[in-house]
Amino acid sequence: MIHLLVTLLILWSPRTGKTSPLAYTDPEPGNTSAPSGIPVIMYHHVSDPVNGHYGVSTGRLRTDLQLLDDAGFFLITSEDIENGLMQVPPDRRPLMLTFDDGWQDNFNFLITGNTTEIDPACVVSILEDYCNEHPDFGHGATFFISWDKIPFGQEEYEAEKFNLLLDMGYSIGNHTNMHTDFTRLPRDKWENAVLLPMAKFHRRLGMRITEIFAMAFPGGRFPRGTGAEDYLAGFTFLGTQAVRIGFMANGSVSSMTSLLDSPEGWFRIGRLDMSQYSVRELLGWRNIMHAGPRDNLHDPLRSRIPQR
Amino acid sequence: MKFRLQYTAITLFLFSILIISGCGETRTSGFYAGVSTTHAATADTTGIYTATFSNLTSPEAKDTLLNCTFNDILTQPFGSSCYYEVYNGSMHIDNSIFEEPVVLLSTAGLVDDGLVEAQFDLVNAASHCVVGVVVGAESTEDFLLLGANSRGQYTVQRCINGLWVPVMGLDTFESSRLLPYSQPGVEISALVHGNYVDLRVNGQLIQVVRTTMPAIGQVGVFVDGYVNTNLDRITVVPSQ
Repeated sequence: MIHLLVTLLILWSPRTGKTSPLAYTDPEPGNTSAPSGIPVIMYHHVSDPVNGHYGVSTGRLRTDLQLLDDAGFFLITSEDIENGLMQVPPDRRPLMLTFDDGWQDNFNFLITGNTTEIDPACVVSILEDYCNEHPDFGHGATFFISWDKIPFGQEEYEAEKFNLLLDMGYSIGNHTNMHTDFTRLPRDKWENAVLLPMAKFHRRLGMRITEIFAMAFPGGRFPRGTGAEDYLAGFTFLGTQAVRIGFMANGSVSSMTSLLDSPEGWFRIGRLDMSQYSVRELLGWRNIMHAGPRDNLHDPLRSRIPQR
Repeated sequence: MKFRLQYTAITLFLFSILIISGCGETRTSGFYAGVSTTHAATADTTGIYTATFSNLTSPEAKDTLLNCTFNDILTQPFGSSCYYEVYNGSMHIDNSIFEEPVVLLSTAGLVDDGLVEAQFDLVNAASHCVVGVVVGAESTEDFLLLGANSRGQYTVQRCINGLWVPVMGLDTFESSRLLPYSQPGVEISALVHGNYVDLRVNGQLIQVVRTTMPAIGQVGVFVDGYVNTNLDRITVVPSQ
């Protein structure tokens, strides 16, 4: 009996039955021919003390920003990817920061009497402080919101926070209604998963809903080879394609080649969870763009993006 | 035998506890939810997936000159099918419980260059909600909107068959916030001259918009969803 109990305790883990952790995967074959990869890095909780297995500390975020800046990166958003990265300076390489789920430590208001201010320890403040002091690093991040909780934690400020994020130049993405993994969700439930959040965003953003077209797939996974991308691309909200760009969490750096070569590529952009990876590991990737100068800023990355 | 049964029962019991404790809501990459900010979302019945506007019949444009200050409760600048009440010197457009915007086309329109001006007195509206004037309208689903919200941002949007095509505005503070925050009264004017439309908010020139075709045709006002506003004045004046 004691042996059995000991065995069960050894085998037991709080995450028994859950999805497997992120796997370190090499870039897809054919994508390493040119250094055209755009690193997209993701965070969840950013707090002191660290909250959960996928959380990081505020100090870690600040350190990462400094290291990425020193490595010659420039912050972009999903709009910039669609626009061909035209605003990336010639001596910089693009990098996208993403924050999943919409936790309160990402964007928190401190209310003192009649005054409301942004919590200096929250992600938005950390980014603002760093980017203001280091303008060469650019400015921007994408916050993917799942509606299984109150976005950013303070219900009375929901709409204000969304609008303020857009006002400040950040972008907001869809992280589904109830944070359900698409690989487990029946197809007939996908429409609600994608469009109900859009309706909720619309109520809080009005016409600015057109700025929401990026999606991070819950669990970081998306079905492959089943026409899932086409199916997802078919959902429209107010006559506009609801999802035009999709982000995984597969521990890879996608190349511009994979985006340009097939429509499916736009729905399979890889991301690195920074609670699992380090900036040093990221810099070891072979396919991320070099920080070397471009001949012409208006050249749409010709030397870095292989032509179709 | 009895000991073996007891042993099996205890084992099954322990297994069931372990299985139950392993269940729960999965998060990104398989971690647990369960912090203070998490709770079940309340039902949201807003499920509009296509643009629909208030189904008011657009009146025929019979005039090119209009200056309505709503002093007369029988005044009908938007035709007889417009059901919003006029009293206390304004038309009370309460769209606060509806998601769809309201587009009211006027009985006066532009056949050439001219000015369209509307004075709004916002009663209740979320800061992102837009009020404005529409020009070059062919119907309540085809027009050019020039508007502003109480976040101090302007917007220019084209609506084609009910689909929005953003032209400019509603951008970040640095590029778009040219107006005061939380302004209760908004006067929006659109001066059409040739292929250009000058957007002014409270008398301040905000943007000059170039259009592919002169923005002539029917004109009117736009009130976003979830907005309760009074329309104090609408003016349509041809340039000549």
